[in-house]
Amino acid sequence: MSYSSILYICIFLPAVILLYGITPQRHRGKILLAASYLFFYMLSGKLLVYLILSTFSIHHIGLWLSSCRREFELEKRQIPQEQREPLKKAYTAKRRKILLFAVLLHVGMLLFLKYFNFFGTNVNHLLQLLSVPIQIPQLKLAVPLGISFYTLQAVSYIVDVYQGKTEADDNIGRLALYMAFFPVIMEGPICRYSQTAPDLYQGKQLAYRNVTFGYQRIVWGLFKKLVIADRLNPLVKTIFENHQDYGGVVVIAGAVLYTFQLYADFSGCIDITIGTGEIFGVKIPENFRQPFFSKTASEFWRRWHITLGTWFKDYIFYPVSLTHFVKNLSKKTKNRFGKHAGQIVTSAFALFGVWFCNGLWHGTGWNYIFFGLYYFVLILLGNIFEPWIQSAADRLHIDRHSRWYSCLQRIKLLLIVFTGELFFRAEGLRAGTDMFRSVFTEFDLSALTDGSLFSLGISRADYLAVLAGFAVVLLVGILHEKGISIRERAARWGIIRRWSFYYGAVLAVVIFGAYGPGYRAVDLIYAGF
Amino acid sequence: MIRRRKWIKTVAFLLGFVLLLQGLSWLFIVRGSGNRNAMSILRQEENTLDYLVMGDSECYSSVSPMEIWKDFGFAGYNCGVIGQHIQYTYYLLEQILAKQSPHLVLLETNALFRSSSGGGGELETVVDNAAASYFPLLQYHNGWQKIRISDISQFRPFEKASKNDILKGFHYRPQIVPYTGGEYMTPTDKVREIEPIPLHYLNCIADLCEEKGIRLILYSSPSPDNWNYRKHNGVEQYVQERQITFLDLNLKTEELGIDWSKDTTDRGDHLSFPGAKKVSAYIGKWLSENTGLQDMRSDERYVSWDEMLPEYLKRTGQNRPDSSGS
Repeated sequence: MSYSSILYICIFLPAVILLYGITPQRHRGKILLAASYLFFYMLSGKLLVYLILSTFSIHHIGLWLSSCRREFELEKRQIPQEQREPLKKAYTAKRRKILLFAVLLHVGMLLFLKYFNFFGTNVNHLLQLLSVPIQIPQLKLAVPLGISFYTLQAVSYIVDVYQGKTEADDNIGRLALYMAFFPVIMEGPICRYSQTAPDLYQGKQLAYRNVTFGYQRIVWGLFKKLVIADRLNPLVKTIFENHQDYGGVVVIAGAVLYTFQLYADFSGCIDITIGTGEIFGVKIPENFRQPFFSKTASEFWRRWHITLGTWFKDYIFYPVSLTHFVKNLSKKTKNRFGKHAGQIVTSAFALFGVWFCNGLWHGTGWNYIFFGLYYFVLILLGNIFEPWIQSAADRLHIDRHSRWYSCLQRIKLLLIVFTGELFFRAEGLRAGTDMFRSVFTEFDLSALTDGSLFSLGISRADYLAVLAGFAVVLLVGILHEKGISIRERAARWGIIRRWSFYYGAVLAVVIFGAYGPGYRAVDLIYAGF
Repeated sequence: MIRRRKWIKTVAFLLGFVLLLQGLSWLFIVRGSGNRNAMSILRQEENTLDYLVMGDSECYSSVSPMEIWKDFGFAGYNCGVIGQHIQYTYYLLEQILAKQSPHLVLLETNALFRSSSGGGGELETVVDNAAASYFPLLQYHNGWQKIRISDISQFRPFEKASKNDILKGFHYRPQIVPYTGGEYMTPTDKVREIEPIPLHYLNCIADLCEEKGIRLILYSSPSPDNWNYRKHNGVEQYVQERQITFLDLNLKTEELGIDWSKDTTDRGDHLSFPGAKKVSAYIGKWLSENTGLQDMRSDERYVSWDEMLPEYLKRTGQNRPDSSGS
């Protein structure tokens, strides 16, 4: 069941709302949990068992960590001061082992199900090169829906319990709902236990404003997904799946339009997710904040897939930065080459971990790893050269906050993003490299005028609809950037103006959406990661 | 009081939306065409079609009604739609039967095994099709691409139908990309059963045909990419239970004279035009030998069909003296 289907919008969701509304408050969480498991079962069938096992394990491990802490507190009170430090060390070591076990269990399950065949294939290539007559068999593994998302949520919960940022939850229902909440399970955003779980299981009263605002946000998500993303899909598919036939301007168009497709698809889905949460009074974290208005690659990633970025920052960047090895190396470098060099060493190690994992998390292909390392190199270079760029700007009296400079930065950022997405979407790293090369070797502006762009699976009318759709998205983005909420404003309008606006928005999706007979339903792109 | 007002407002809003959908549905059905084949068949003159061919792209690539008209004089229409699910076929058939009274429905079987993503996929399609039957706008919304200012200013429904409908729903695919995979119909006792939802809608179609006195015939177009013996057994099992004729043309490729080096347009997925000509000739012959369909070529109601024939031959490259149709 797709979030953009009539089944979800008009049947599943209203049925859950109705059941939720008529159920006494203390049981509403259970309704959401049952709906979430039903949703998961409809998409992944028996693979639901993986999700349930993950939930049971983090519940148990969380309580185990918690009981360890309590035991330590109890024992601490019964022993003299001088014996407390060794006791603390012993308990810390024990708790660290439990944490390691939990992380290995969950990440191991993810790695096994999602990456076993990828690693196997590469190891086999290596063994073949070394003439070793051993081959790792390829396994037929079914990957449960959303495993990349709920695994990160599970790990964050366990680490937070370990660090004492959150208490272990003895209510397995609440934890299960945190792991499985149906709008989040397919594409995130990656929620933190302390932010969403209490709201989720509280069973808040349905509020008219929440329901209407929630559905408005859902319509906005549908607009992005159906009018822009799905309409662009045939073109993107044609170019990337037959990349040998195209080059130059057509490849550039493919990279640019795929970037817009991905944004419209992913952010559209997140709008539906957040809107659904809003209906039940659950605040789901934002995952996008007008990313194309960024000036640098780091800023872009603070505005694009925000929850993944913060997850990596909290659970990879900081832990790596704080390892003894990195701290010592950074200290030595700082003493020898100065403060900036010391900082660069820390960020190099931490950023490598972040971006390698980011690439790998997105999928099983070298192009994804390349994609991650591409941003690693760009961001690291940005950090390294920042003092020189600043001093050059000072010497040349360039105001780095001026409009023209910002404009140049934005153009540079867009080029970086389009190039990255070209490799990200390509059918493998070699295909990506070929396509990238063809941009220069087969560059010919005549493709813009000879009708080539109209023979890629979408018509002039499709281009027109996409263009109009993007103009709307851009306008809304500018308003949001200025802190203007359209929904809040519209809510204050008179009934005729307001209803006309709402009807117009829904009809824009119904009429201009790419769905129905003659269209193949397009799976959510990030659901595949 | 405030709560009641909010309820009333919500209901009024939804009611207004339903009315809007209905109104626009009417407008779009009249003016636009979201789905070429589905719309075109509804534009055919009433009660002029003796048989219908239904299914997905395997269907519209395999049977050319104008070939059958040319050789046998049977008036039919190919209602194949890309990626069609059997649920949609059922609703489309319901719509068509409100305007036409065919004697036969030939149903291509590939759609019976069309897989949807996950368990919810089939249900999703059922809901989509049911919704589209109440609000046709959901089906024909893409008609906006074809609406012209002149269409709106001059209220002339169905004006383009006869001009654009030379192929009678058939898709002319002259490109050839050979299939080189060898034999694909290896006999086996294994059965690929038809899933419950497609089975339900297949039963609905069979019941509807029975109710209207229409003979339902299942056929499978030659397609190494889509068909195999397990699917054949699945359909065979069904037709034996319901006593329906099943023509598995994948088992008759030699009889048809299928040459995979030139009869497929995409490596064994769909038939190319030369392949479609062979299947159309076979189906036409089968219809003439096994059904009571009448040759309508001398009937004055079908003058337009005769008029369209030269245009059809031209479109499919058959008007050249040396042409073999490819």
